[in-house]
Amino acid sequence: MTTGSSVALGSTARGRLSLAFRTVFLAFVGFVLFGPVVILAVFSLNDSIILGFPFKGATTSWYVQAFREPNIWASLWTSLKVAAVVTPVSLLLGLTSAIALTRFRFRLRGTITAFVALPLVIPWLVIGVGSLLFFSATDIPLGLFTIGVSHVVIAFPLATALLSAQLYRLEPHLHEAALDLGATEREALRLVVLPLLVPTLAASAIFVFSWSFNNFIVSFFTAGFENTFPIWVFSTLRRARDLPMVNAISTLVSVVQVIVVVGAWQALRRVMDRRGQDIREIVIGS
Amino acid sequence: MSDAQTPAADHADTPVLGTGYAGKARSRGSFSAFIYLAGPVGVLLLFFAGPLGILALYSFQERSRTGDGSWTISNYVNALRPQYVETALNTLVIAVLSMVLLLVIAYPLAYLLAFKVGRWEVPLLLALALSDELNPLIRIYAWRTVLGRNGLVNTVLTQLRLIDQPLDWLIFTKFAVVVVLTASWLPYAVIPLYAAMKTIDRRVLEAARDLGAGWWTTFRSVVFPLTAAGFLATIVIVFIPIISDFAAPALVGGTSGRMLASVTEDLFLGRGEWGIGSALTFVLLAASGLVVWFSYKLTDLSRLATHR
Repeated sequence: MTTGSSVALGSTARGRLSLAFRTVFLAFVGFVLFGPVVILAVFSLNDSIILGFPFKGATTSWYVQAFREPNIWASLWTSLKVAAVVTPVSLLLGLTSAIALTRFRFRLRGTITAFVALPLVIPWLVIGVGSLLFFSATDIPLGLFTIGVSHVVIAFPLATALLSAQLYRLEPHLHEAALDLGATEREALRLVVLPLLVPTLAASAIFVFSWSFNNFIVSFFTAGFENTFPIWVFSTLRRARDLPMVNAISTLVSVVQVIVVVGAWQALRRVMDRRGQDIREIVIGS
Repeated sequence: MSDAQTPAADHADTPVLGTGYAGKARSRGSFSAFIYLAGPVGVLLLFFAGPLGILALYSFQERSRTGDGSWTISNYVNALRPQYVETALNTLVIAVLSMVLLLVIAYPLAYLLAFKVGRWEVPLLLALALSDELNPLIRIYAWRTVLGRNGLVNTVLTQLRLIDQPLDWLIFTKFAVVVVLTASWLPYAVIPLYAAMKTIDRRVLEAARDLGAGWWTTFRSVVFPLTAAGFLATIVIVFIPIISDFAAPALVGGTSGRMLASVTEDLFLGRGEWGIGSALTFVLLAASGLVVWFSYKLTDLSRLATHR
């Protein structure tokens, strides 16, 4: 657009142009984020072993093949088990550390705050490799336990960060008022502070569960002979003839993830709207 | 864990809530805080500091299938072999290109989200979160449908008769790694920038416009200075995982897209060269640390952490 034409255009025309530009840009971002997975889903129904155009006709045979592959279901079950244990443990550690770091004054508070945040800025590769060496040096056999522990290490600091941010935002007066009105410290925590933290706890649970369920690199080093789902995907991608099966199961898992995650966020949003809280604060907190 | 409840039962352990309690709590706070922190800090000391410590130790020891564990600095010397240095430079080039591309996309996106999309703001934010909650390996692998030999780009360009042969530099190259890393980390790049934008009062932007500032002047003297902290936070949050990324080079990188993580993985799991592997890992860690330290110097990181 030249300067001349922009002057000639009325402000509404320019508004329309910038709206069009904005829409194109957002569509581009949408494609970058979701386009490839959507195309993969379409090709999971393609009657060809090659991942690409042209579309040779629809088939469900790759799904049938995937259903008959026991390793897929075993690895999915392993990932679910690990995430199901890692999530509550991380929430508990995140909650206790967030309360201690935001509600108490003590020596070393700054140091410990930094220490708890540190796993968030250390590359996962480094944590994975270090854990492998640590477990082998301490003779802890690699397996579900070592996967779980290393997931807790990378995930609970995220819960700490989200919960601390929310605790800073909460009105301390509410807690104080509860104490003034005769609540014991435990009652104030249980009846006032915790209920206000519930949405953040729920959001943390969504993040921590996905981090654990989706984690590849840390599990890769700490799993030993166990197969989590991402490890199964990674090792199967090396075998060209099994790729269509990977497309099928990836599509299925992604669809379930979209349904569960969107459902969870929507439910959370509705609860927060009813309480007059703003879900954007939680997203920013991450 | 019952740790969480025990101190709370004690009336005298008053947490600091306002300034009024501070004096009393200072003496008793330490004990309560200790009980709350025993679990989390214990876990980190054992399973986080432990692994990093062992890694540091092994990087100074003779550790391979034949090595015996005597002290040495040869691992760091060996880490400077040309093939590793070349991979390190390749990693740096990929990381910097991805960062530039990320900021070019994330910055305007954060601006649109914060000021321009109206009621679409929350759905779009949740879409960003959703994309991050899909399996990263699947997201990376799925790019083969777009960049592959028979992928979307090649098919469209061939159909339009713009090319005769499929482009062969789209996949299994540095280019592919940069594209995929950018797509993977976009949500993490947008969020800190968006958070920074949200602190800008809309009226400040209106005032700038009323005073006759064009969009460039507004950007240069209002928006950018107010979001500089978010800019740095984005660099820290995204640069660290990118330089240590393993999956993207492994799935779409080919030989020209090789990065340090692939070499490290091979040293540990393939060749059993734990000493050199540890040294290289530490070099990676030092690079990350340098970036954090640099950003920390430029801005107050603790303020960013709580967004106040």
